[in-house]
Amino acid sequence: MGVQLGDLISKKVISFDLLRGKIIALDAYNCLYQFLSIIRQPDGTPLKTSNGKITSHISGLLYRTINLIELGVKPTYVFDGEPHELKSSTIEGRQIIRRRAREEWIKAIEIGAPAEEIRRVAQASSRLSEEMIEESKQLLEIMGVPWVQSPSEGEAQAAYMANKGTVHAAGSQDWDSILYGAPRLVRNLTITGKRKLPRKNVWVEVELELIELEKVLQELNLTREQLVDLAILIGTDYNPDGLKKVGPKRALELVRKFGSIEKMLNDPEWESRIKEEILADPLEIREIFLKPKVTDKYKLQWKEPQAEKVIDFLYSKREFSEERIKKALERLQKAMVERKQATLERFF
Amino acid sequence: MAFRAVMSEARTMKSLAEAISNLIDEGALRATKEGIKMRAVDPAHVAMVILDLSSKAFEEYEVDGETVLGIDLEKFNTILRRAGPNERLEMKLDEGTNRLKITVRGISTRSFNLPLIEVSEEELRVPQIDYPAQLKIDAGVIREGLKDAETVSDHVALEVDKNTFYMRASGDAGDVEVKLGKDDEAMVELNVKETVKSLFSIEYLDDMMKASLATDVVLISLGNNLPVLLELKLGAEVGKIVFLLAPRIETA
Repeated sequence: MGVQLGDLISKKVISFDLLRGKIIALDAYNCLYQFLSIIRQPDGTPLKTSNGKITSHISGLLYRTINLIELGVKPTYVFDGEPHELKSSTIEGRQIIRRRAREEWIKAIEIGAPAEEIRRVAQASSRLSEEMIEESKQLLEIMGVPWVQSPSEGEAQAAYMANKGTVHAAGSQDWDSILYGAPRLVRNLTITGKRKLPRKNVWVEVELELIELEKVLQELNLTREQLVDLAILIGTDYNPDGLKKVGPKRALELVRKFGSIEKMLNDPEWESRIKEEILADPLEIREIFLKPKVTDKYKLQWKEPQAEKVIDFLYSKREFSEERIKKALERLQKAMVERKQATLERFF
Repeated sequence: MAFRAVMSEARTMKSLAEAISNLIDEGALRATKEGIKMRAVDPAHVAMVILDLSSKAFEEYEVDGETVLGIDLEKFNTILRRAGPNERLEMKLDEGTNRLKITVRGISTRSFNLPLIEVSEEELRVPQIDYPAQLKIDAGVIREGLKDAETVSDHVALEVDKNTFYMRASGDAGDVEVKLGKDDEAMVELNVKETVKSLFSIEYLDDMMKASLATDVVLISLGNNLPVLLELKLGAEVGKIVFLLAPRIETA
């Protein structure tokens, strides 16, 4: 989810070289949802143990994290805390979508729909349970990868850490980190190689993208406050629908014309539309983006992986292939050692 | 665009090519009437090479304005390996074919043609570091010390205090310490403001020190968890090669 800013924002395609040795704070929920929806068997069923426990997210977390470390990145995952009360309508909306998708999926299988169709509805039915989150944290722990508990949004915390300089960038597929003030956002970190476009039989090469807040603001000639206003007009997690018939381009025109949502509220026509269509107080939404709840209580420390515990966790408890886990562990251990090597960039 | 340079002995160029090609895949040699310069980083951005060869390093040296030679360093080294240290070496740009003609003259005359390549030339900055410790020592001490350290580990700590230079390594197979005091003959100079220590990959240092066969003394600049700067003077008026190597960081 998140704000649909893609059309307005220019992104730079970068290579992993640029991230070597850098700490990236990944939005954990965003990654886990991705793993749940992408890592599936051909018929759309997620990976499961023999007694039905879903393991797609665990598989993704293990392999993609190791990939990142091998590429020289220092990943840390930021988990969502309590969602802001304004967000609950979005969450309910998502739950309804997922429930429907799940029903559709089961029906699609029953009526013997084409595999492609089954897979599509299956992907939309991904649900991230409390248990999945807990076991993800546990896996990171024994892999020696630090994670951070955000008091509110994961992306807000990641943005805060990037802003402070503790981490180099926020990593997420959503644009929201930029609204929360992350100076840098990296997209497509945990997707590798090729990705299938939804509903089309087309595969596109997935490239690493860097979005820099400063550049975005410069290009759009907006302040960060105005960028947030723009997002609110289009629709954010706190007001999913935004203004009717106002897409990114129209929203940009409006923000440029009026300067701020307050000024739009002075215009009777817009005032009534905003009040009717943006159910929450837009100024309150803006405050959430500008001053989200964050914490300084975190410690980023990468440790040696605890091999025995990882094997027990994945092999004994979740039926991963022992041979594959051992290989993965070897890769992780090797990458951890290599990562201690600093790069020259650090000393400029 | 014209370039021709002759060395009466291939020795220096051989050891430079060996050291540089181990670190860097390709580089742009920039030849002007002052001499030849190259600056490049390895693909992992861990090591930097700054080569500065004076035109006086060559017996004969001709260049038109500024000539840039994009070199595949591994291929360059493969050719130079074929040259004996005392053989005469000539390098000449063949503009028509865009090749570097390398001629080695010993008992017989052998010619190699190296195709030049496009090298993307980004302006490379050099980190400006104020080093708290500098020392000048026999290059052999480092070369041998690295071999000693390698018996137990793949990385080595370079340490200096006011009186002594240490190379220390430890691993499952035990510990190694190499020590050189300020009164030892191999210690040429020692300027230390404070005790410092940084950890480095032996493999990288080893590759760099291959260039030291062209000289005797190495100037080392060292700090705490800072890149090490190794400067090798290639003899009076010949020029120098400088290596910068990022440290390994133990915590986090």
